[in-house]
Amino acid sequence: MAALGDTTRALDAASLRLRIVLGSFAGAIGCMLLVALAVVGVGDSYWITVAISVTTYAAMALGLNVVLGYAGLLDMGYAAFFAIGAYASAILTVNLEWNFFLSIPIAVVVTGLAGIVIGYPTLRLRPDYLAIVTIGFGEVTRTAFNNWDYVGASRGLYPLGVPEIGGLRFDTPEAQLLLAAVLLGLVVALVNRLGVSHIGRGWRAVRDDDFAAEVVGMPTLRLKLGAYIVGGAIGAIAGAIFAARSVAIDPTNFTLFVSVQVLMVVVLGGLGSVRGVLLAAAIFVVLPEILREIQDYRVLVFSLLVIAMVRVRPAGLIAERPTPDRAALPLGALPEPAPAPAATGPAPARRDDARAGEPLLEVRAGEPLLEVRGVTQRFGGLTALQDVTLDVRRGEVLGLIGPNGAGKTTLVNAICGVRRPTAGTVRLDGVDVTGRRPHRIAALGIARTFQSIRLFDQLSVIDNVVAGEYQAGHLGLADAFLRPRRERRHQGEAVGRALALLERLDVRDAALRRPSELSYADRRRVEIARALAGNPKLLILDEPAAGMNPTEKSELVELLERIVAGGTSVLLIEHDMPLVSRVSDRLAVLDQGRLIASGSPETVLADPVVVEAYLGPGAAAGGAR
Amino acid sequence: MTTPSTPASGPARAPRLRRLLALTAACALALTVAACGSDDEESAGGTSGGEPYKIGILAPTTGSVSSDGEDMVNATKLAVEEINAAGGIDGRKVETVVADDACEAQQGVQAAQKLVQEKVIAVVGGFCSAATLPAIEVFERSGNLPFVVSVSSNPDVTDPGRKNIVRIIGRDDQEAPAEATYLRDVLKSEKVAIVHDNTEFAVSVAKQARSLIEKQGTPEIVYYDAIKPGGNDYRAMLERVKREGADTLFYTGFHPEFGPIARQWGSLGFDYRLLGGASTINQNVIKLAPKAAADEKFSIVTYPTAVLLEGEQAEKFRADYKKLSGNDPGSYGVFQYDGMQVLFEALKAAPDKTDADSLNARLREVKHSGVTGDIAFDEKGDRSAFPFLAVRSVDDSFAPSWSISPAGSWTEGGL
Amino acid sequence: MDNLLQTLVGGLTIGCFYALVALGYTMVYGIIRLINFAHGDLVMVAAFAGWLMLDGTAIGNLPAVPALIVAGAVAIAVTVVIQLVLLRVLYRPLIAYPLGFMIVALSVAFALQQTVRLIFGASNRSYPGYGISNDSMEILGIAVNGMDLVVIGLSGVLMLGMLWFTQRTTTGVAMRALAVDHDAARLMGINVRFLIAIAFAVGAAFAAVTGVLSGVYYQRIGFDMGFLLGLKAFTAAVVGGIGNVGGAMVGGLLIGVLEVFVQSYLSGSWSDASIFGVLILVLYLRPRGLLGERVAEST
Repeated sequence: MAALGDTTRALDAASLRLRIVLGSFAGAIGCMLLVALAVVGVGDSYWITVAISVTTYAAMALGLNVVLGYAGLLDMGYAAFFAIGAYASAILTVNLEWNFFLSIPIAVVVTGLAGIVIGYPTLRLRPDYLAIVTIGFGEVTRTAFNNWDYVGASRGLYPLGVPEIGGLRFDTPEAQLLLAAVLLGLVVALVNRLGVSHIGRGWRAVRDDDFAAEVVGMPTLRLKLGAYIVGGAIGAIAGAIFAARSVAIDPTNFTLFVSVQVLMVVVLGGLGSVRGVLLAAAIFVVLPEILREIQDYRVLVFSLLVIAMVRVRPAGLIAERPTPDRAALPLGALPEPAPAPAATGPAPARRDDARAGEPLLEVRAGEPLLEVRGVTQRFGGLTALQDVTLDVRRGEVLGLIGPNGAGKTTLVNAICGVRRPTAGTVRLDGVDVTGRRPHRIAALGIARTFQSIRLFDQLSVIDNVVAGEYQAGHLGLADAFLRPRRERRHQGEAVGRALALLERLDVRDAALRRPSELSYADRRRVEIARALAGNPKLLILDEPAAGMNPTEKSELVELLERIVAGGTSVLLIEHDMPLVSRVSDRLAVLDQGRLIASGSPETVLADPVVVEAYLGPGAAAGGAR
Repeated sequence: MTTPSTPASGPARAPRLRRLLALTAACALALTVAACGSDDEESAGGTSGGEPYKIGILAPTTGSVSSDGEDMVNATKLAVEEINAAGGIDGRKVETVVADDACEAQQGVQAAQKLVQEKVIAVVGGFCSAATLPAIEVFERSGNLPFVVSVSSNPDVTDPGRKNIVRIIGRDDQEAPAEATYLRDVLKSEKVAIVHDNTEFAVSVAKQARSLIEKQGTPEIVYYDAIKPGGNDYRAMLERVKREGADTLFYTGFHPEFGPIARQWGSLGFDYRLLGGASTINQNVIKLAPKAAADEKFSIVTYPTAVLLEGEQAEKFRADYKKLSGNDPGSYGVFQYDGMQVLFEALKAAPDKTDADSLNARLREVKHSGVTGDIAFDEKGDRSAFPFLAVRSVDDSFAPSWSISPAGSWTEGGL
Repeated sequence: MDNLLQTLVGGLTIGCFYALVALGYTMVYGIIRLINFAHGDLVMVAAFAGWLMLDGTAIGNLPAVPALIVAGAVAIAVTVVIQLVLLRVLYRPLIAYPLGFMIVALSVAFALQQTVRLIFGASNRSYPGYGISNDSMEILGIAVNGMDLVVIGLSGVLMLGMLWFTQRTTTGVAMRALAVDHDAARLMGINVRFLIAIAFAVGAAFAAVTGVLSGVYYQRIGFDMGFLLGLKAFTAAVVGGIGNVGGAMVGGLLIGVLEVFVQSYLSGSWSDASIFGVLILVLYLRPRGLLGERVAEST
């Protein structure tokens, strides 16, 4: 058994090294070339041609994998990117007589831009609307090409030239396969790198729960747009491969059916899984060639396979790598947590402040941190909040209570930017944040938890926490694939900080597990850790004690006290009166959208207006009924 | 996507890794086996006296025009059965390998490669130019493998002057002149509307017709547009044609749309004439619009197809085809049949020499009296002579009312 | 002016088809908020089922009306069974997973298409003509077909029936409640599973009627007739307002008229693309549709 364990570890380490290799450009390209050379070695031009088809599908599927597999956007018109890339390359080489290799970067840029154009209107759409709209874009693109005489309209462009560079002509199947392999390797490396980067984490968070991702501080719209841009750029490379090996291109190469087939490959391979998608592309092309009898049934067979896959093994042939991806971290086991900050004491500096070279901010207790002024929220005919004015002061815990339906969560939503208030303002630290996008508000220092815990189930616990400080990194898309070492270092530091937080919250052992495996109380803790990751000025907790037993509740109280001591103010929505009155410095009471009382817990809880709000009219007078 | 169950991380990864390795190994093995192995034959062989001739068939048996692909395959079967029943060529039987090009480029290339791998001595077929053109490149590169193009009418097939192509059907640019002169001389149209369906073939015919008509000077083209294939309702287009004041509507697309067009044209009682191009000819048009197709304002200008051809040979072809497949022949199968015959002739001329160069030379020399008429090839490989017919429905089947021989002009009656 | 009206009438007929399919869609969509890509292909399956009855069996020898009633009943039975089986085996477990559901529905669509193609072949089939009048009569100077009137009339009756169902019957009202708030509905004692099944079944029945009607009207059916039809019908439902019966009707008619107008006055090449263009515009400018959504607010 021990030997088995050793083998497992060895294979694990090997797999890890392989992934790191595949994440490097040289590695991925080298790998693809090796496979290509093997096929060339077999020497059969038929199979070489088949292999080129595999690379085309694989490239397209990897591109769609970024859009759908990573970011969760059901783009059903992916062939549009393929078309734009292929046509761009063809126009440059045929009509303008450019060199094929020069046309590739241009095609990539053009298609990336197309990604913005196509992606932008879909950013806020629900998944089902998004699917239909992308179908629409696919059709519109194809119709446009079909009617554009410059590219031959329905006849298409023929003949396409042969790629050449410095006297080398890629006119044989062998040469074309090697060229295609290099381009595919490029794509594999790109996708791998993005997958392990903070952008990849952001995408997966968006895919899992884009609402939570936005509120936690991720710029979801920008992330989605980024996915389209990258997906488009990869589609362009696939298009270039296609143009390189084809004699002619015409609009029938880019139909909805092509989009659907690429989608099938991605689903079969496994959303988010690079190796899976590569394998699925190979099977998709090769299987009907080997089993000639099934050629006529090809579409039916693969449709049924997709159905079976989704029902039986939704993760796909080769499941996406669990996060965190160790390939992104310094080799070896998880790093030790950063030294735990003191349980009490001045607030750790916010990164911005430290960078600016200013001295650590001192806790100025008592001054208003969050100022809510006259906030009103109307939904159609219903007024959920009416002219609410309150403060959360620095260093305090403000308890927000009120009967069910009073508008507490609505108020929190208004503060966090989920919904712009109909009237009124919200200021944080003097800055007006009314109605700004939630991730901007999160970046400015407000973090929250949700009534129903909204963790990212597809990410591990530690990744959830790291996600909480997304904004602070200031690393962009370009960094993700151009500066892997810097990425890795940054990630390593983030993981260290996250571990420290988990330690502080007594859930460090759960770091590599999925949230769904944890107990309710632990999940709550992880959510709080995530909220704290960004070093917020204000932490809003929405019924954190719900479903907890007394032990857990008193642990929660201790935790809250530690948090406040660490310099973060807290706005606490709770129903558990003893708990909330014990831990809060002040209470505010909402009833039917209005603030009906505020002050110290004793005063507020004795206030007859408050009692009546909870127990009904006349309750204050006669005591319990 | 959020999924009902997801694999855990950690120790479970190693078994998955092993599974991956196993999968990869299996695939690699499969590929190797397939690459080295597959040489299995398609149809019944049986050699008597010598190795059978292996002929490749390139046809779209799946995809948008699979019914025509089916038609071609059936016609092939008919030709092969006939010749084998008669003892084969010089005692050697004929075998075929069918490769599906799905009417698209990537598949076309793969299908062509497969035929090359199967070491066929020649290929007969080709329907969609999107698939045929890339396939031609493949065959050229593989030592100029002889390719008898049966149905693909795109001029690009033969224009480059290739050595290994002969073509049975006419060219796109042969059809349009016939239609242009028909409009002017027979229908005496003064204002014509030209409608296509945005597919490559229909557009090409429409464009050529337009430029020829403009050169002719008459009729005046008052409307030029497209409909979307696969739809069912063409009333809007028909109305528009009337609005533009045309006296004839010329549709260059395919028969699945032309049937409904004819029916709606008839039932809405439009005054203008309806003219269909060569690809609209199909019995389904009569089935769908029996009254419209018999109307004297209705006509189709077409190649002589299986149904229209007169004479013993055509009758026999139709009867035998029906016996073999249970259906009536489609429009294009007959070209495939003639293509096979042409190849047989070339083989008969020197049964032992099946190398590409000599076969190519012999193909060019073939003179064959086929079901589609007398066949001979010019220096590019095209049919040197191609007649056209103008037809309408008489007693529920198409019958010619006018005809034009290649060098002549339109005269009443059939060929 | 004449021509405008003429075009309008043409658009109305097409619009009725879209409206019928949209109606089948919108109730289900209102409840589960997921596009069923396979819906259009149910229409296709129904058309073939009806054709089988009429072309292959003795039913075809009956006069038009009884034959069509039988064919329609068979088509309804077939599609409802298929839909319910799919619901039980595939759809229901995936209702909480939008991506999974849509991908499966899409695959089902293609599986249905391919199965029909493999069984019936790729060529189109024709419904018997039944001497149903294809000649047109003049009404107010517009050429109107007898069949047009049948389609419009039948569609009108079905749409009214649907309206009555959702407004006046307990089941229908329950479905509307379900569309607005699942949990509240459940708490009120509404049997959610059962209602979802009813919604799917009704949707399938509408698809079936559309399929047979389409066969009779256009006479030509093919394995690929359903998918695009489904997409356009979905557009119609969105334009009119998802979950809203009146909206589906209005949306369907609008899309039909739009399609015909684009073909007639602009260019035939762009009619499909323009429908998608309208969808994009509506989603951008007025996402609730013209008559407003009848669905729960998303968080």
